[in-house]
Amino acid sequence: MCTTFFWGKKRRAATRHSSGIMALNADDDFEWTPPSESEMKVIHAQRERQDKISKLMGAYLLKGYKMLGECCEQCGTILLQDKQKKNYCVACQELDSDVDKDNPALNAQAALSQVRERQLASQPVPQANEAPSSDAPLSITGQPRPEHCEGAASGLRGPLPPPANPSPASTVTPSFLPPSTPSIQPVQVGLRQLDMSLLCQLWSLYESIQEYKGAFQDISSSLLSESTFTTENGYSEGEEDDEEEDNDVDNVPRDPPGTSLTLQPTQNSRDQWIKESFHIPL
Amino acid sequence: MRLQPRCLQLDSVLQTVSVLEAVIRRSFGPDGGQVLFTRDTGQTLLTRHGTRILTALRVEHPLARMVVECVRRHSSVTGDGSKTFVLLLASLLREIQKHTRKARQEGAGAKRLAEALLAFGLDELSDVITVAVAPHGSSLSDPHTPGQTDTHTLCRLLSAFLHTRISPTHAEIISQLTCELLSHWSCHGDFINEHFPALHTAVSGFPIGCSRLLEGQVIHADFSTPLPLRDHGPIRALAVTEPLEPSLLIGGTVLELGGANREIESVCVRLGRRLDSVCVILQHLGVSLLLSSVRQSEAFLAAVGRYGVCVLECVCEDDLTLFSVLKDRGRPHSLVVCGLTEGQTEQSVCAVRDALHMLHTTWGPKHRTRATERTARTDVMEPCCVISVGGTFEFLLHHTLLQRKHRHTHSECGCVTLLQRQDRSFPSSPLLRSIVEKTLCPTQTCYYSFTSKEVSCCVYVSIANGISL
Repeated sequence: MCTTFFWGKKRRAATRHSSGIMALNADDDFEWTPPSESEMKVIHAQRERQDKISKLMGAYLLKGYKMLGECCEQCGTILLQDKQKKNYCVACQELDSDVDKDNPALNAQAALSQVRERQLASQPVPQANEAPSSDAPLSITGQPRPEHCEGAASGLRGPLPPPANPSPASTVTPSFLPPSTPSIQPVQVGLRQLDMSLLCQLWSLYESIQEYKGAFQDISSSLLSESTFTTENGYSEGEEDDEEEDNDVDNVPRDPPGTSLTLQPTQNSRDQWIKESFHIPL
Repeated sequence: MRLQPRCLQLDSVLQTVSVLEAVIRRSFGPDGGQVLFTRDTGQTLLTRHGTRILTALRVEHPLARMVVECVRRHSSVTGDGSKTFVLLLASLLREIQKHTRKARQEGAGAKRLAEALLAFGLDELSDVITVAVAPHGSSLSDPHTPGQTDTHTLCRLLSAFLHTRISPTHAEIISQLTCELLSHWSCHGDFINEHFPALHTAVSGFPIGCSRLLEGQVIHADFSTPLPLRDHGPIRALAVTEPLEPSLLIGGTVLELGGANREIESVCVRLGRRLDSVCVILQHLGVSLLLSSVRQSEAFLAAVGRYGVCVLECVCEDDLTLFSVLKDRGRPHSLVVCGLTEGQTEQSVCAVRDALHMLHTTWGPKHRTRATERTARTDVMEPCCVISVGGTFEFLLHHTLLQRKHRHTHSECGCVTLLQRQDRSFPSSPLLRSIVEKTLCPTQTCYYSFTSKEVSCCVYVSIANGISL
């Protein structure tokens, strides 16, 4: 069967062969010239990327994923489907996300490391007061902390570093970020701004949570100390509940000084936002 | 980034084939790994065979399915070379893409190049191989006794082949047994290849070292009655393919009685007498073993049991065919392959079957019509040419094509250049380099069969066919 198939093809191909060869000669587009240096680099880079994609896809196929007949709309890579019928694009979800972790527009940690690098690079003589003070919150920790808000917060907490380069005209961008170079696209600047605003909100939330935590701890510790005192009395007297209620009512205004009890509703817009977003009963 | 549809087509083709190549590449070569497939039912499949790996993957992409089908067909023709097929295909496509990258109509240019390649593969490649590569190979035929096979070369060939399919520790045992089997059968490769399902038995639960050759034919049956012990004389056996008992007495049928005797008893007695007459005939023939491919009824079993006849029911059709053919062949030998798990046993059996298929392809070329077409050619290649493994074939072919490039006109130069560059890219892969290094070690010499016309031509032609489609 296979033999006849090949021979049939051969007879048809023989007629095409001669015409094909003539076409090869006549067609100027088919003059093959070796690619130039820059083209070779592009070819190599593309081939490396394709190799990576192929390797990842091969590994997934061996893990039991299904290769679908559809392509991803964004990058054109063939889609895979796992056993839970979920589609997966290797290029979009794995390769690009590996690259994104170094992209300062999308990662605050990368942005801060870039800031640090530029500060170190742009200040050849370390100034006595200003530069170390700005670097202090970052360098004390040694290794950058994993939480993004922590890192950003430490940048926010410290005094603003003196801009080595002239700051950009737009004041919307926080000044501790490196000035926008002509190569940064407006999209990235917008994303960075959004990121920074989110970070600010997150940090304020974190601070308020810490405050509440501290407050509740104080209250609970004070209540505990009060209740132990009253229960001792209550046991001896036998009218526990009434005693405790009376003591509770008395306890509230008799807070030890220094405890910031924020049980009263505040007019702070920040707390308002927090209340609305997270439904914390206050 | 929006790409033009034509560029995307070649890119997506290359990507599909690259993915399959990435799957296969890990198992390629003498140190390649094995893939373990597990089903939800708990069945496992352990394999290094390219075709089995590719057909076991879940693939819905139409182009990938087409490539897998091409690989499967190629493997069914040659018995080997499925991984090489995919690697060469990917390499060829990359070269085609590199060459047509700058062309204005990339898709059409690629198609033309592929067709030219196909024509080259069909017309000239076999001549190139005949002239340049075959003289450097050795022959499977014994130089002293033409027509007989050189067992030493045969054993090394089998050993090399089985090393690519089974792990090295097991490959030695299995290749030795296969060599013995072939030598017992006087190396009638066609016969063994045709009747291999009946000539082997797979036994799970024993270590692979328990595999052995048994003298005689092992008959696989689902049911059997005990054979009464008698003096060790020759046993006569009868093979039947139908139930010997008249079908009237089978349950579920409605019997309509007619005629003078309308009583059921008389019918039963008559049928019983018929059964007895069958048994008497058997006894008269001296048959003490009955091989039946279907189930016989209980009454029949009881009746023949009284006469001392053993019945084997549901015997394999292949076994019966072999049984009927064996009377002219002398003493047969059959192979018992053991393995600790079913997966391992299955792997060994498949490896031996593919080895026999590959030998069958080596011994008897199918394209005898081509030889008659080329009566003008003086150098007709021997069918049993064997070349050492490790890149020898690729180097020789590359060298020849390079020489021809200087001699031939520009029109063929494109195809030749393509092949030459593809060949250069193939040995330049680090995997093949490591294979070459290892196989050049004196401790490990492997002989591999690139059976000239059969495998390599098939490879190139099939690839070119696939591309031009």
